[in-house]
Amino acid sequence: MDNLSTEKEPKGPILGIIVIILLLIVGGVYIFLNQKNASLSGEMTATTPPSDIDLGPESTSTEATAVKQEINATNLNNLDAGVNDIQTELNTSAQ
Amino acid sequence: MTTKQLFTGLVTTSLVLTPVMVPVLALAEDNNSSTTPSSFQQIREEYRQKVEEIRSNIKDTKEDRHDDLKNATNTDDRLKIRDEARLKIRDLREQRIGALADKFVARFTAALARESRFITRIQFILDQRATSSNPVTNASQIETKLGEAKTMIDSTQVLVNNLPNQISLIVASSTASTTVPAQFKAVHEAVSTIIQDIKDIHVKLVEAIKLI
Repeated sequence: MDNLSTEKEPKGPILGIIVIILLLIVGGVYIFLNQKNASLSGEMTATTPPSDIDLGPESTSTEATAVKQEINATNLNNLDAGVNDIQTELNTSAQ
Repeated sequence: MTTKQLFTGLVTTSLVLTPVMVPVLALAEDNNSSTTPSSFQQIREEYRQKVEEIRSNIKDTKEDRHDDLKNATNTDDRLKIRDEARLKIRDLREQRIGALADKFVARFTAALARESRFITRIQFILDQRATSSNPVTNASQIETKLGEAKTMIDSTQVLVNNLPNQISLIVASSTASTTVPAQFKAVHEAVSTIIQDIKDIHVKLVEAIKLI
């Protein structure tokens, strides 16, 4: 019985190493294929300053229809909201 | 089960899960990156509080001036108190206008960043399709529009960055002949120019995406 168990023992780690190597290769290919998408996503989320108005929905989709929908849904009508507050401040300052 | 087998099992499991978890986490990150309506309200509230705080400081300064004037024993002291309070109040009012200017800078910068991200995405689609069997037929026309939009974004961002200084100069340059409507007209023009630029950039992108 002892002889049998000592013969089987070395196969486990070898199989494990083979599986790990195979998975590393698969993982490497996966990362390589997704590198472009990841860098695009990073670029798009890196510089988003906080704003007080909602400019519209936005995703990171690279489907033309999604981009088109989001461009069309962009709301630039409220960009001047509150500009009259400056006039109020100027009036107050002049008093 | 030996320690080695357990270790191998754990490593294998984590490696198997990695390709599955990466897109899941990326998706979660994308969902978190979008600004929610409550965060817009929060930002608006922060600006409101900032302006309110300065307003309260002005009120306190006026009250202090009133008390100090009561306690002043001679004319020189009274004049000194008035001058000091006037300078402090002017400074606080400039801060208040500055806080409003900062709000516009953040808003315009966010709008320009959004347009810039659209350019990145459209360019990505063009690049992806260029290497596929279905390239975009009007690619060069679209790229011209994207290039123009990029240039406009850069020049508008310069105007946006300069807006607080511009407003400060307009406010500080007030003379007896400068009325508030004239000052406001100058500020309004500066803001309107930037808004029109952002809208023009957006039109370029609308035209570009239509060509895909």
